[in-house]
Amino acid sequence: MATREAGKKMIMLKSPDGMEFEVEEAVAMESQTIRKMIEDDCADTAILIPNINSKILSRVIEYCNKHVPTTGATGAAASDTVAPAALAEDLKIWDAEFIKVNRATRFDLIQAASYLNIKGLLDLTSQTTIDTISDNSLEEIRSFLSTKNDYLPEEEQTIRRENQWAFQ
Amino acid sequence: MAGDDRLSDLPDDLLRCILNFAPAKEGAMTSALARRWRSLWPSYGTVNLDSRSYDHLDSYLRRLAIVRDAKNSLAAADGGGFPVTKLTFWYVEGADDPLGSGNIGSYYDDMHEGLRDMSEDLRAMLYGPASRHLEELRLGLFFGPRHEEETYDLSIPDLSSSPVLRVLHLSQWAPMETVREWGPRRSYRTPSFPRLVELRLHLCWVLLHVLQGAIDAAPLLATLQLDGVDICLRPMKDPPATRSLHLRCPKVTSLVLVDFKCWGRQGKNTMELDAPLLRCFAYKGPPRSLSFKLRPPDMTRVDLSFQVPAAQVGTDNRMCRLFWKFIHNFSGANTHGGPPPSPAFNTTTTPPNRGGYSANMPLHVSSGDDGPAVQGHPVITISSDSDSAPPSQMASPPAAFSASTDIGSSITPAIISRPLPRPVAAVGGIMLTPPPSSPDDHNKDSLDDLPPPNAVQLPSAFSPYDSSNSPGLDIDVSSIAFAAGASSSGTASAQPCLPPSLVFQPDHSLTMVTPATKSADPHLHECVLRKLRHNAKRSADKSMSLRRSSRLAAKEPRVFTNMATKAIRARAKRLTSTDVAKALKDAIHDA
Repeated sequence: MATREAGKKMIMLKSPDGMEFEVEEAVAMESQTIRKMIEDDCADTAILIPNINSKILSRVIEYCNKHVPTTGATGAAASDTVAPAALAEDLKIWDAEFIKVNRATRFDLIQAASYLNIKGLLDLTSQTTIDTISDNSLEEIRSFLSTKNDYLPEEEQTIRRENQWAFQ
Repeated sequence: MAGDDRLSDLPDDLLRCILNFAPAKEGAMTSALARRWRSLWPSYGTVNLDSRSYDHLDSYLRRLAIVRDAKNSLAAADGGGFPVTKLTFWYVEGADDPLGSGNIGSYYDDMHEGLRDMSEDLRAMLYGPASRHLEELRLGLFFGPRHEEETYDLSIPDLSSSPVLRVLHLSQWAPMETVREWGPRRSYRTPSFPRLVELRLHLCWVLLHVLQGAIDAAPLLATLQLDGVDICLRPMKDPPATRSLHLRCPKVTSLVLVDFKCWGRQGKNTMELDAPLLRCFAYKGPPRSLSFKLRPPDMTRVDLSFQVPAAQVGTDNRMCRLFWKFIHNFSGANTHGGPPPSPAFNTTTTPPNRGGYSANMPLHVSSGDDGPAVQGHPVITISSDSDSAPPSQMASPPAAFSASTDIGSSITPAIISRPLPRPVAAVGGIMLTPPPSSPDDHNKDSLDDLPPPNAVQLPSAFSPYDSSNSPGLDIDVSSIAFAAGASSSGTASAQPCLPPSLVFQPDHSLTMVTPATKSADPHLHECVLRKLRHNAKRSADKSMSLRRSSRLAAKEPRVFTNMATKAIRARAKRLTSTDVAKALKDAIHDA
């Protein structure tokens, strides 16, 4: 492990179940929500992250740690970051491993990514979710999402007819 | 399986966000799930089409189906009053067909027809009412096996039908203007991309002035990526052997050139970039005559990855001149005067002795903190020298650049040598000597360099070096990444001698580009090792250092990988250069 260094601003994140995570400011700022708090000076001590339990929070931090931009110091916007292709490729592989979780966890991650406003993580979880439901029939998707069909049979028929192309 | 997904509990906004990733067909299907979902589609504003969703159909039906779905999705969104802001259309057909299929008349006709029809359909869609609000447009049409793919010929005005377009990605595209240049000319309306900020061309074929026209039409364009783009020039009756080309990108802050081709048949064309606001620049390809009209003053990051085609290895010195010229583009962008600083930190450690051979080559890790640090741009210089030169010597002209590799096919690894107080040569017979010094070469400290236990100096093309001639580059700007091969089979051979590349950053940090430690073909690996040893034996220079370093590098690629990893971890923690250097030291010690 590299030597631990002082002098970097650390942020304390607290989950509702009482766990505390000390992360670097740059890592925490991957979350736009936290970034805003920090920039508004609301983050003097610890930031309580409601609704996200320690297990999920630690995974989110793991994600942010990996994705903290290497060019961050220049303050370049995301689009300015010219990630070397190889690095991007590595990240992709890492992401694919990272998201190999059960559905409940993925669901929690989606919520966490949404609350914390971490675009990359939200994209990753969304894409994975879509991947799992595509290539299924409507009934399969319905049962997969445990959605209750509240259409009247004739309503459903109408909708199917309107968008017939999608059901071929 | 059923029942444990709580996706339906999510708020509508979040569900829309997820549906953004759904292919058009699945998106439309969800409207029949339940009443709630009826309101979600097609209100999320994205239409994704990807031929992979249609793989179960044969090629003819697939073409029809994807176009039908595109039209229907756009129409549904438009009918519902929802603007479509993102359109992705990705179509691949025949990628697995045997090479050479394009020479068969009927196959070619079929492909050609399919491509033409699809471009027509796309053009109609882009001019349709549903496309007026497009903010992001991504198109890629691939027909036929790999290198026979044809380009589709939407014209630039076709693509500029939405006044709010921000992001445009095109793959395998040749603007109709380019095609027409050889055919009958027609006038076309001037394109305009008032909001375009990001343009990415991938595997495209485009006339220089057409590309320039598109850039000029986009006053806000900040990010330009040209990946595998062939810039062609107006046909001329007697084209001169060398042409000088200019590309103006007045607002571009981030420019990526990967396998960029505009160099003419003999690679002798010169390209001058006029990009005064450039901050990030990445280049991958052979060293070419590329220069900047004015040095961009705010350059903060440069990633360079050079590939030297096998045919040019060892044959001419031009490559080496080009290399240094290229590098000089980035010297002194944050110019500062004064003598080179003395190293603030110096350490000598011993790499491990893993394979039962003696490996006591010292590694000098120096970090020139005081000079550039004034600008907040400390620079790390890492050099390695088994002759145990005094630290003062270590600090200034660093040892060797390694450039990269893909020898599998046509690319050969090369180590591009920097001036050393002793002769150096390089792998594969390429010897790259530095250019004569230039007047502004007072900053010898700030060259970002690769540490080379792995800078195998092999003596096949050996040339003495005169240290009085040392140019001492002053690259304090930014980083240089010498990517050590991808994961092709060629990498295996390159791997023992080439380091995972590091990107040295102006903020005194470094990142690894490619560890490239996978997919080693043991046979190839062995061959390279044998060759390395053989060369070392035949070497005119029998100095222990050479043999030792080559042996070390050949047998011990992990030393460096390890070291780099640690440095990167340190980087992730945003430490200062001294800390990084310390981390390196620790790493070497650990190893």
